[in-house]
Formats: sequence, C-alpha cells, structure tokens
Amino acid sequence: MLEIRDLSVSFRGFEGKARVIENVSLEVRRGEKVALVGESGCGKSLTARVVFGLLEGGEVDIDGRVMLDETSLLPADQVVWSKIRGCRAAMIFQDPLAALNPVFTIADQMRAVTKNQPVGCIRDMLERVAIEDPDRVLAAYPFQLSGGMAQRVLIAMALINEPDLIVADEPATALDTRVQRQALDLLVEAITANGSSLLLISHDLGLVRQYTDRMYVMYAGNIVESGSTDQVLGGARHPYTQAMLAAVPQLDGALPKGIEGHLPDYHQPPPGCRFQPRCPHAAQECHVPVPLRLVDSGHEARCVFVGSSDVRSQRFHE
Amino acid sequence: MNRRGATRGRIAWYRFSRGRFQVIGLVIVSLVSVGALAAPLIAPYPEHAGRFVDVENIYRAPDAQHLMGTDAVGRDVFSRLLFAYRSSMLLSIVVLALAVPVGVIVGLCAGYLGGWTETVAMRITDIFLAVPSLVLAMAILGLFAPSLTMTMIAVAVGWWPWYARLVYNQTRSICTEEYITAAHVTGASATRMMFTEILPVTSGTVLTKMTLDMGFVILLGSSLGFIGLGAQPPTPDLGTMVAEGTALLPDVWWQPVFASLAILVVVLGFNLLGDGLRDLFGVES
Amino acid sequence: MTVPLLELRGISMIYRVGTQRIPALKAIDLEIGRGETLAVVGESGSGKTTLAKIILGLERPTAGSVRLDGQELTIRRSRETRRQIQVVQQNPLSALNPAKTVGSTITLPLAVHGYPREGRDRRIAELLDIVGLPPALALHYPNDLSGGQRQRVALARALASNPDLLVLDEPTSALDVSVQAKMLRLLRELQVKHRVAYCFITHDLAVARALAQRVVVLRGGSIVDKGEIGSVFTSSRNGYTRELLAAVPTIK
Repeated sequence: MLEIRDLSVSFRGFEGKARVIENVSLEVRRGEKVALVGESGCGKSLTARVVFGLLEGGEVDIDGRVMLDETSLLPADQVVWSKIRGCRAAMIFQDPLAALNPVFTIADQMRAVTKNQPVGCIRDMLERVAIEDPDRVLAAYPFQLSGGMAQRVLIAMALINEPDLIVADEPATALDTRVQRQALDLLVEAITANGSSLLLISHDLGLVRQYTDRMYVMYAGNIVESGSTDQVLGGARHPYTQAMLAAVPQLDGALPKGIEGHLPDYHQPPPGCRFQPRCPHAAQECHVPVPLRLVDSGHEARCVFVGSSDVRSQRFHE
Repeated sequence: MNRRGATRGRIAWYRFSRGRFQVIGLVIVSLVSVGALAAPLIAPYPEHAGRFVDVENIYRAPDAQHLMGTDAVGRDVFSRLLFAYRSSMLLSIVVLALAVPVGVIVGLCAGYLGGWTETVAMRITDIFLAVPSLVLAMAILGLFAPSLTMTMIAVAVGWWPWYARLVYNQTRSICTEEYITAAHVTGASATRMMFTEILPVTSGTVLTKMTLDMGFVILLGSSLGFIGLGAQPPTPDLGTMVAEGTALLPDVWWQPVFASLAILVVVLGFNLLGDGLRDLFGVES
Repeated sequence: MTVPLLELRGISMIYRVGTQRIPALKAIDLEIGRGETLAVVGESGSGKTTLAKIILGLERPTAGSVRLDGQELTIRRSRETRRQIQVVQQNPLSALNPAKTVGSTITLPLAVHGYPREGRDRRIAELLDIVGLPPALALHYPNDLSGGQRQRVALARALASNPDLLVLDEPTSALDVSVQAKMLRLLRELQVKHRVAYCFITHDLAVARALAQRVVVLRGGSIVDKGEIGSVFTSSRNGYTRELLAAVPTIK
C-alpha cells in the first residue's frame, strides 16, 4: 500500500553535501503493522517526513519513488500532499504537547482536521481513545492536559478521518512506560478495527516486539535488515542489529555492551557498508556497496557474510 | 581566536550571507560608519561643518561641486551630512554604552535574585517604560541647556529600562533550564551565576537589540534635533538639517530631502542588519 | 557500624498550591553507603524528582533530616558541602549551557572550588579522558555534540568537583540503547575507580539492575519496597514491584 523505492535524501550545507539517506526501500501492505527501527541520526524520522512532503527547501535533494496505492507521493507537489495528509495518511508526532497548537482549544484543532466527517464524530473519537470526559477535553487548551491525555488526543486526531495509513514517529516517548503502552494499545486496537496500516518509527525494541508484524532496521541512512519481527528479533543477522539487541539491558543484571565508534560523517560516508568502521567482523569485501541478501524467506540483511558459504561467515553466525 | 572559533565565524558568515537584505544592511552600516569616522578626511568641504558662511553660494542646487547642493548660508550639504552622521553615530554609541550595562545588570539581578530586588527593580522599570522615550527625553532636556551631551544622557535615561525588561524576561526563562540547576549545584555564587552562566545566554538577544537600537536611537535623536534639542548649531545634526530646510520646500528641496534620506538609510541599514542577527542567533523576541 | 554517606530520615514534602496541599513525599527513610549505588525506581508522579531536589539541596523538605557523613544538611549549604553532592540530569539537550564551550562548562566547578588556574586546562583534559571524550572537544559548543557526548560532558562537570555522591536523575533515558550501554559501563568503571556513590533514579528496572546494588521502589511519595536489588527483583512479594517487573518488555 505504501511503497518507498530507492529513496535518497541529501542536504547541501556549509560543509558540502550530506547524503543522509541512501537507497532506502520499504513497503507497508494493507492492514500490516510495520516498524522502522534505528537509533538517533539514522534517518528514520526523515524518511517519514518525505512521505508526507514535509521536507522541502532549496537545500534538500530528494530522489526515488514513493507510492501510496496508486498515488505518487514522490515526485509530487504540495497539492497532492495536502490532499492525503490527515485523510488517507496521518502522522502522529513524538511530543504530544509540542505537536498541538497552544493557542487553540482541542475542539478547534480537531475540527480543523476533520475533512469529510460530521462534527459529532469528534466526541465519539475522544471516547474511543478512552478519554472519560470528552467535553472537558474539547473545551481545554493543550497546556491544561497531561502528557498522556494529549497523546490520546493526537491519536484521535490521526484516526478521525479513518486514514489508510498511520505513521507514528516515536509515539509517546515523552511519557511513562505504562501510559505509553496504554496509548499504543488504543492506537493499535483502532487501527486493527479499521483495517488500516501502521508504520511505527521507534528506537524502542520492546514496543516493536509487542505491536508490529514486520520490521526494518535502519543504520546511517541505509536499511540494513528486514523481515518479520520474530525473524529479526529472534535471529538477527546483521552485526548492527545484533549489537543493538546486545545493548538492551536485561533483568539479569549483566552490564549490556555498547557499540564502539560513532555514526559516520554523512559528508564522507564509507564507500561500502556504512557500519563497517564499527563492525567487529569488517573485512575487505565490506568496502564496496553491499546489496540486501536473503537470509531466509522474507528475511534479508545487508551484510557480505549473509547467504554465503564462506567458512568465516559460518563461524560468525554461531 | 582559536581554530574552533574561526570555523564558527565562517559558518556564521555562511548562514548570514544567504540573506540578501541582511547583507545589504551590513553594507549600509559599514558605509555609514566609514563615512562618519572618516568625515574630516573624505568630506569635500570639511570646514563647512563649523562656522562658515559663503553668501555667494547659498541655496545652490545639486551640481558637480556640491553633490547635494548648499544650504541657507552656503555650506555644502553633503559634507555636513557626513558630519551629522558622526554626531548621530556618537549619540547611539554613547547612549547604548550607558543604557545597556545598567539595563542588563538591573535585569539580571531582578531575574535571578527575585524577592525585593525583583519587585523594586521591575516596578521602577515599568514606570520608566510607561513614558514614551521622546517625551521623557524632551522633559529632561527641558531642564537643562540643550546640547549633544545632554541629549545623550536624556535618551540613555529612557533607554535602559528596555534592556532591563528584556534581560529580566530572558533570565527568568533561562533559570528554569537544567544547566542552570547544575551550575547552582556546584555551589557557584550568585554573581558567578548571573555573569558567567546566565549573561552569555542572553548575549545574542542583547546584541541583536543593540544593533536595532543603533538605528532607533538615531531616529529619536533626529526627532529631538528636528525640534532643536540635539547638537546645537553650527554642529550639523540630521534632524536639525531636515527642520531647517522644510520652510522652503518645494523649491529649495535638497537639504530636507537628502537629510531625510540620510536618516532613512541609516535606520534601514541597522534594521536589516539587526533582523539578520536575529535570525543568526535564533532569537525569539 | 560505619555512618552511611547519605542518610534521609522521615523526609516529607508537601507542596502548597493555592489552598491545596499536595503531598509529594511521605516519611522517606533511606541510606546510601560510600561507593555504592542505590537505585530509586518509580514512575512519574512517584516523587522521585522531588527526592532528588531535596538530596541536592534545591528544595527544603517539609519535615525530616538529610545527613551527609553524619552531619545534618539544610538547604543553605556551604560551598564545600555542595561540592560533595553533584548531579547528572535527564535531558542532554538542556544539560549544558549552549553559550559556553565544553571546556568552559567543566571549568565552572574548578573555578568555584578554587582549583589553581594554571592546572585547569590539564584537569579538563583529564576529566574528558576519564569520560571517554577527546580533549579537543573542550573547544566545542554543545550543539556540535550528540546526546551521548553531552551526557558525558555533564558527567565530567559533575566529577570535576570530586564529589562523594552523584545524583543521577534518569541520565540515560533520553539516549539510544547502545549509547546507554556505554554510559552504564562508564558509570560502573568510575564507581570502582573513584569510589563515588550513586543515587540512580530511573523508571527502567533493567537499567537499575545493571548498575545498582540496592533498590528502593517509590510509589505515590512512599517507599513501597526496598532491599538488595537481586532479591527484590526475583522474590519480592510486593504487588506494585511485581507489576513493574512484569511490564519490562522482553525482546526475544
């Protein structure tokens, strides 16, 4: 339903051209819940913004194709984007209080979002997101709401036009774990009920495990691994995914391991695999561009040691 | 300046130079400053800025020898404008040199120390702010013999409260930031907190306002000069030069028109430059 | 029996908002020994931030006492007392003064406590090295730095005072998981090398488990569970603790 093919984004700035996203391809089929996972600076939020046409300006170069069913979202113009925003596709931003306009009441803001729905829908929507006193919330200004409440309002605003696709960018990270879980439960329930699709952008593997069916792992502007959530989390093959999983603290009390090094300079990224400078298994073959290789049905990883019968790679995957 | 500082300077220039108007502002301000500084050297008739009379040449229209014509007593308008820029720039610089430190310190103390200091300081500030600067300046100048020096003092007295208010508001919001809490936890004294922690954060806003104010002080000074309360004759003054010529408009048009343009240009220049600085420093004001 | 480094007895905090009285903390008792880590686990609204402020001398408790090395502390603390308890906060974006270089930020505690001028640059380089940052970073401004780097600078600033106790208020919550892992290892290393005690406040039980020896569970301003962290997490009978433990996500 959503198809992103060979997306590349670069910024021109003081130090030259920064190639922050390179040849990213992903898709979200109808009714699917897909995660785009990665750490800060990997480009995942940027990818979402491209879908909605939020990345513009003289200093950005965008290449590639983005299709929402039959509609082309890239290349496209503001007219196309404004038609789909809120309607066929909606975005939920990270910080609920920052995403709401402080000078308008919730009622005003929700009314501004509804395009085809009757106004009575708004109250119902708030009830669907477990807001017990919708009238009070409707009359309130954003600063009068708690974080959890504001997040639920955002979810209601996203769902109100029953869009086909919802993109949630680090939803509710600003909130407590329990409140976050509640908000996401509501969101996923509503999405499943409508038959919509979800693209969940997050660095939180716990959320991904719980709410999504398929996932993409992004590092330094590349997709490095993809597959079903079970496949990737249960049997990660890309060294970055493995390192990220090893870094999650567990209740056994062992100190988790970090990853040496840091993100590459996007002005001068490594020629081949972008993770190679930090990879404990780096080899000569890693210096040229590496394609996604098949691990298993539906499971791919961008690593030279995947899918080959090289003895080194066998040892590596033990 | 260390290497890191030099790079930041280059990045700042890169960002600044993207905006046409702010660069124009910078050019205007530079030209005016050079003109004002070097007036004795570059003015074609520097002696016309003092006591000078040439009855043969009064009211000459602009020509090759007098780019902007001559005035009622035969003095070259262009040369006098250059010297008038000198007085105006001097006025701005002195006013800000007096008003800014006072205002900043009052604002810092009121914002950080709170309590009685805050109440007293901000009430006094509010009282001053309630009176329009022009009226206040006129009232003060009414008590003393008018001169450039008195004008500087009168305007400065009305100007410091704006800085006090600006820095006070900034200080209050900065004090809620985590880095201020962390600095407080190290045991820093109030003086150190105000001057080494809070003040640097306000510097961008203060500098932007100072740049914009250079133009506004010149405007205020010209208004005062228009009613005869600025630099006294024979010292050239932008406002006075506008006033002198108005009686004879539209026939003898050159003095008031060029003097007004001179005011317009310098105020515009500082405004454009100030706006550019505002974008550069990321100031919301 | 040795006197604990930090001792809180009967600490209560009631905020007055208009005519309302909002209790934030109720009769809190806790101790932290030299060189050990106490995890304070709680969700938002549990009072953990208020607790941090009281320990740091930023708020005066409504009742109770705070003792450092047996000496009672009030909110009016001497410079020397302040030196002994430092803080690392949650948000890397506001942890450092944006108008000051990294070097200048670390200089502050050195200057406050009278460290000789000639030695300061060298000490800054040492501190940056201790937290795993290149000394050249001293000339940079915070907005050149990543979140993880900023937190390390915040840590270096805290260490510059040579404190006995570090209050860490969700120091890794805003960091990526791999960056958090490095930070936790660094904190452990520093504790072993320099015998600094940590009051580690977090909502993340797995993180608490990785670093702390003892734990205190806060709920609605009261301590509902406490003890040695391994046994609390495996065999606590407290319903709330078990709820929190159950909510810890499993990845694999």
